[in-house]
Amino acid sequence: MRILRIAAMLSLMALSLFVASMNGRAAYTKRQEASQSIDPVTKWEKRVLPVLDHIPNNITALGYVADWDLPNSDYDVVDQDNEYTLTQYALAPRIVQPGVDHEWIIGNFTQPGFQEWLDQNLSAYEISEIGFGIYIIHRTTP
Amino acid sequence: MILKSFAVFLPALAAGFGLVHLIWKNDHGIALILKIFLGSGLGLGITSCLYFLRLLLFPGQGGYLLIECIFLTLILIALFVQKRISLDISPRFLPLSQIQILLSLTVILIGVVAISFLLAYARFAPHGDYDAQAIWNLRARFIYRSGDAWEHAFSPLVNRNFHMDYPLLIPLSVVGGWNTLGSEVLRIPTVLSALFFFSIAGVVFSVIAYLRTLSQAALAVMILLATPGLLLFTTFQTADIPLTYFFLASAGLFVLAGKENHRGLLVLSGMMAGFSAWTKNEGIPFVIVMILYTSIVFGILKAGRTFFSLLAGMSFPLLTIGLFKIVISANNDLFTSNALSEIVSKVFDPTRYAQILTHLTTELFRLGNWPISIILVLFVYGAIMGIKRPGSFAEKFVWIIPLSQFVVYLLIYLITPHDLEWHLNYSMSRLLIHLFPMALCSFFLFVNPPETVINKVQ
Repeated sequence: MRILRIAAMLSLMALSLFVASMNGRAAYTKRQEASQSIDPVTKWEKRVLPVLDHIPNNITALGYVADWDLPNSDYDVVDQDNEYTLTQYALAPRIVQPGVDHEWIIGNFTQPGFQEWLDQNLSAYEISEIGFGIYIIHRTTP
Repeated sequence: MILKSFAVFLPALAAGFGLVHLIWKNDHGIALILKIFLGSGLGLGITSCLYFLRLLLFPGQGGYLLIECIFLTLILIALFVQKRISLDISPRFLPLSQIQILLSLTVILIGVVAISFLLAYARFAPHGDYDAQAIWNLRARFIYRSGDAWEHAFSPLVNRNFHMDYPLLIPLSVVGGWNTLGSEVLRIPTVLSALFFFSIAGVVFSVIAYLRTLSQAALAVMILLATPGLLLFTTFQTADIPLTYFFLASAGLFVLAGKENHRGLLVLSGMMAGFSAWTKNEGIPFVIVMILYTSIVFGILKAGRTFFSLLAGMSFPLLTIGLFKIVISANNDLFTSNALSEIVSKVFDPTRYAQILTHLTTELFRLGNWPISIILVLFVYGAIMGIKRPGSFAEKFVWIIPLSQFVVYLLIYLITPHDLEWHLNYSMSRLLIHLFPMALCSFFLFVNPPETVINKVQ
């Protein structure tokens, strides 16, 4: 029994060391990946921050429309949700609300047909493309 | 920048250590190590509460460092008055035996790997995980960037998915760090997460070393530091790891209070439980669990004094939470969109129980992302090593704390207004991580330590 107990203790140590070595390998891989590319959050921030150059400084809340608003559009729900969250994260403390109930609206479109949808839902507006499928939409009438 | 970010919190950590040292007059070497790791959470918790009061009372956002320094100065004065300024360290655990040296070297090695893991992820994902961007760091950004108008962070216009009702210990610590350094330094949330992670390891180690043996403590901390899931959650920069810390610290202090029959330790245990509620809403049921646990351990009739000590400790963080709930009247999504009739029908729906249990079995099997089930491994290890008779009553029933919190979590799943499958997938692994260090600590208090086996061999 004593030998079994010593073996149990050494096995527990060996298992911990084995798992730690796996953690070490994972750390090495991530370090390599980090040195080769920018993280996706920083990348997204760089895409959406230019929006601020197009809106007045006193605007505290913006609307947000994306592929998920377009009828029959093909999109990934998780991606769409992440992009909305990252847009809010990048633009805080300005509040980003899904929908078109604000004078200034961010558009995030990769699918065709979004301008028809905007025409149906906004009576008058101006649109500027920021790049990477990001648009700033200014409602010219309420 | 990592060291600079760490330095921001040093006065709070030192003040926390001083407070524990002031309350618990024990100069045993292990007790002092425990005080360091208890002090980290306590210092950060108290500072964040004081900083919240400062935001409510005065315009602007500066002064985090000043609050830390005032807190530290007051503690130093109290230590000086109480003649507790010198440390009379008694390293009773020296010299180390061969097995202790072997285990210590293994722990150091695994600890170094853990540090390299956290550093690599800090570069790979400097903004943390989705929840950090959607809740914790987002809240910090809202407050920091709003300046004097920091209450704007809680505007009802903010999307409900960003959980405005979540408490502020972590966001305010981040804001305090940013204000001190003068910019949004990404390493501040990273350092906070790492601080709490290593404090968990420190508390597990020193509680077990104090109550049992060094080898037993080393084995426990070895498993903890190697747990991939725990490391991964630390890189997420969410409030889960700090919450895990406060749960563990509160339970650990309660056991020590039972053993030493020390009311000061109960006050500290209550504070830690209170700070868990100031960290995340899951801490609110934990506060209730701790109160109920007190009545079980001490008996309802004898619990008066104990309750008083526990509640005295809880009072400051709970008052801060009360103020927060009054000033920021945001509702909890679990209850606002859940009518009573709907809750009752869910409670009597057997398919929900089956769904929860099926998911739970899978999650328990892969707890902490170990390549083989760590529960199974520990079960076999415990069966081989045998059970040690626990010392105090509090020690004997410490497992009730993680178990009760676990039951609370299962009840929340039962009544959740969200899609159950989504909710289980989204959160069960991290809720189990909240309880893992507490359960691990309880386990190693019940199992025979290696020394008993080795000594018999010698």
